[in-house]
Amino acid sequence: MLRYIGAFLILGTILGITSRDLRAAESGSQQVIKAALKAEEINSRYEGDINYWTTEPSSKELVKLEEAFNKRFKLKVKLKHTPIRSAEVANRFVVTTQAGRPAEGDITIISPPALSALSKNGLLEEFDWVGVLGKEFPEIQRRVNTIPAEYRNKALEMYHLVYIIAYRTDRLKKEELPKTWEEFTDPKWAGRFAVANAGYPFNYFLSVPGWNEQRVLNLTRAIRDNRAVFVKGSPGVAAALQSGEASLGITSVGNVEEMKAKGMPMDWTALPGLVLAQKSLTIPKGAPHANLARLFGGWLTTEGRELFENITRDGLAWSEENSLLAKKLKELGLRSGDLTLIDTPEKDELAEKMLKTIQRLYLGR
Amino acid sequence: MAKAEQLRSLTGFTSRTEEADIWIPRLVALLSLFLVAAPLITVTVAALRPGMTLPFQAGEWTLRNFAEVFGDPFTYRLLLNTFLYTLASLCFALPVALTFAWLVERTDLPYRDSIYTLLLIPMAIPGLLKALGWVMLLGPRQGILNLFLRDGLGLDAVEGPLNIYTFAGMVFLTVLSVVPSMFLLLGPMIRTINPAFEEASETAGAGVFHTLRRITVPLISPGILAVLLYYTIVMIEYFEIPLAIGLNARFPVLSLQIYTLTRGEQLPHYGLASTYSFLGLALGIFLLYQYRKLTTGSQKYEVITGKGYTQKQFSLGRAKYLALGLIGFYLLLAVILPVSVLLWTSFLDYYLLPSQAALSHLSFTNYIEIFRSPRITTAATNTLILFLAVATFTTLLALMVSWVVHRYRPSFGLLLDNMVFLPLAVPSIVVALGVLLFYIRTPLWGTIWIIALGHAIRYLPFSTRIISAAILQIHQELEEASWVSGASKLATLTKVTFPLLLPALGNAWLWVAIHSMRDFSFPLMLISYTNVVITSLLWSLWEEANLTALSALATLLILVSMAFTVGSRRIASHRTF
Repeated sequence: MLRYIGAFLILGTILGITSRDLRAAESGSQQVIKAALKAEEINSRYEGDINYWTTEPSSKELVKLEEAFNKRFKLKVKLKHTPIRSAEVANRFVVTTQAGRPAEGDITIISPPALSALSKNGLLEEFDWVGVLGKEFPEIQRRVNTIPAEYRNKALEMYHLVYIIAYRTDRLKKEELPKTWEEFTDPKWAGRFAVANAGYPFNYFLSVPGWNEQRVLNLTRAIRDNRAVFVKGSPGVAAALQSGEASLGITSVGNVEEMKAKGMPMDWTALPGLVLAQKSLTIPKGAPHANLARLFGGWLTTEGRELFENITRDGLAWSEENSLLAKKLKELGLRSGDLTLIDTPEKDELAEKMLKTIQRLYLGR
Repeated sequence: MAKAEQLRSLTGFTSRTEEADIWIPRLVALLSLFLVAAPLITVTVAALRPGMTLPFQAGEWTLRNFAEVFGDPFTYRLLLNTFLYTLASLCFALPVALTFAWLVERTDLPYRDSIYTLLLIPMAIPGLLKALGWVMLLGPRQGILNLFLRDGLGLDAVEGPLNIYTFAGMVFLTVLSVVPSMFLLLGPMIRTINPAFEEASETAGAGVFHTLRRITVPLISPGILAVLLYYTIVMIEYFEIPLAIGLNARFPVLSLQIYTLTRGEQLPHYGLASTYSFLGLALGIFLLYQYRKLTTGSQKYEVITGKGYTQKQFSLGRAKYLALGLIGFYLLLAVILPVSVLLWTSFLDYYLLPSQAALSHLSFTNYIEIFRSPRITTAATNTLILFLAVATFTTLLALMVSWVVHRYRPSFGLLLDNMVFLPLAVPSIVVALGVLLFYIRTPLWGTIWIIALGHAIRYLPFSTRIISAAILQIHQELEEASWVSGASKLATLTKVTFPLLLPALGNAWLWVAIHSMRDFSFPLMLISYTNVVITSLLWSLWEEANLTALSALATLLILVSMAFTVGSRRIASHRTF
């Protein structure tokens, strides 16, 4: 009898553990999908929408992400793309919420100032990413932990905007390139290099060891006086290199890699004091399809990352990451410790303040 | 007015007509007030809000923005630069537009009808794309024309000899851009000059140019001044060329500063931007006052009277070849060269200078990709809606406003006329923000119709100006003659006045349609998944620095706009008197 009781107890324990595990398995994607079904974000045929409010990738490329996501979770979800820049997303969500409307977007990928603006307006809400999706996407733990404490669990690390030196390989050899930022002020580069008119990346330099306000201002003033070709944003730098108006320029990696992929004679290198601006994925409070967006966000920042990186050529810079960007930085001899991450609200505030000063300086003040 | 009353009693107008005379002006005024209120309230409120606060967000009120703007010496530099930029651009653009208008409207220049249409085509090219084309042509290092010149002149230099990134380059591009709109405003004015004065001058033995200088120009000088005042306000807000060229030219202007504060790389600062806009608004009101002074006593400019009306055509003789050359040269600079560069780039996989080696890179890939784009059908449909709906609604509203102001002459006529003019002095981006905040709780939100509404507000000043000018030039005695002959008010309007106004209405419609099709500000500010338009896609490609795909889409947009311009003109020319 005792044997039977013992066997029964053992069986019961096994079943209990298994069912707990089953419940745990369900607590991942299935749990979120069930919540989405309940919230009528998807119908019984698993059809639904996710409003994707960000510029990257383009609508054409986004279809690839949509296909991969649907295949992975056996869904028929449509990613409805509204290409809108980070700063504008924040404003738009704030405006609509103030007007009593729900946020229009379900998911967005934004830079630190926009994240801070959403946070200040109470538009970020916590979600237990690790608890719900941690087993299914183990990498998500890291995507949560690399977010500054102020925004922990309210956003996920998506990719890094890295400012590098891009150059035309048909005009310059790698050895000829400036080795320090100050070398851009050398008359031999006069009128030959392009920089973003907004003031990036120099506004971040206050957070880089060894830099102070005076040094940044001296550098930016000298760069202006050395007839830098001012263009609209990092993509503008890539365009100036394309058209040949500049032989080198300071821009972000994605644009250059995209040109390279098209066959342009272009490459990039990095200088000491490399700064990274963190781009974070977030789901605004009141998003109409929050559950689906969470599943998509969790997937995109982990399993879907590689595809995202292949499409956009934007990745994570940390040495331990398996990204093209990390590999290239390692090749250039740069390790995580050499990189300055702009992640905290303090660093961000400093950068925003400096941005205004540099813009004024560029405008001739 | 008393004469009109007398005539009304003579023709036995019913009390229903008189009632309509009361409520029509009021209705038009109310509708206009409702439309223009959004941007004006927004700009006012935003200027009084601190930092990054949105205009209607809860929080403190402050005069800090005014203190910051007026206490900053840079503001005065911006104002001076804006003044110089405006002055230089108008100094060149006005004589060019005036010459073209005179050549087309009052001379025996061959192919005038076709030339008229061709001169409107530059309007179809957005300023940003024109600048992009010219940067590829006159970029100091790799500009195609510079390379050609260096090679041809044997210059041993790596830059120049020309440079688009200068103040002169900025003015040059602006002149190319504003001439067609100016031509549109000046054309009807010159077309309807009373020929009696010119005939008298010629009878007295004066030559063509003497008559032109002593008779024609003085006759239209108030109109010219009004156009100048109008364009001064336009130039304060004009940002596309300054954005592309201004920073490299080290010549910041007010519009560039406003753009940087609202659509720059960091979070928008609507408070400061609105305070800067206030400068434009104040200047606009001052110029409006001057404009009113010029146009007071509108009978002075009534040139189409009931006393016989036959246009006098000046014979150009051999000078017609010079005139054709001049127009051809303008079209070469404003259309052929920049569009050719865009066309060339549109067939490449990445930008390459024209060469034999580059020929192997030519393909239709960019065009195929455009048609494969998942958003192109929605974007094209929405753009077509904007093209047709905005132009039609705005022209009708402008006609109603102008008619009420100049024919009904209600006590609030002056106020109404000034009011519809004011959105012109507020930057597009601020008007767009006003529309966004004002209509957020309405069903228009997120649809293409909210962009259409924004465009109607934005383009109402121009269409009102063009239609008002035409109404001012039609003497009321024509309508009075029709009434006396027993025609009803409606019959007079449709059979006498409307045909006379048709060219101006056609011009206003076309101008609004083209500008609505090529505008970037409203579609970007009011973007949603469903209201994407072609310019939203163009902007995305611009932001991605995808020069080749951008060129392909731009080429298509320009070609379609050109086709519409030519088509509309052909229809209009068959229907005008």
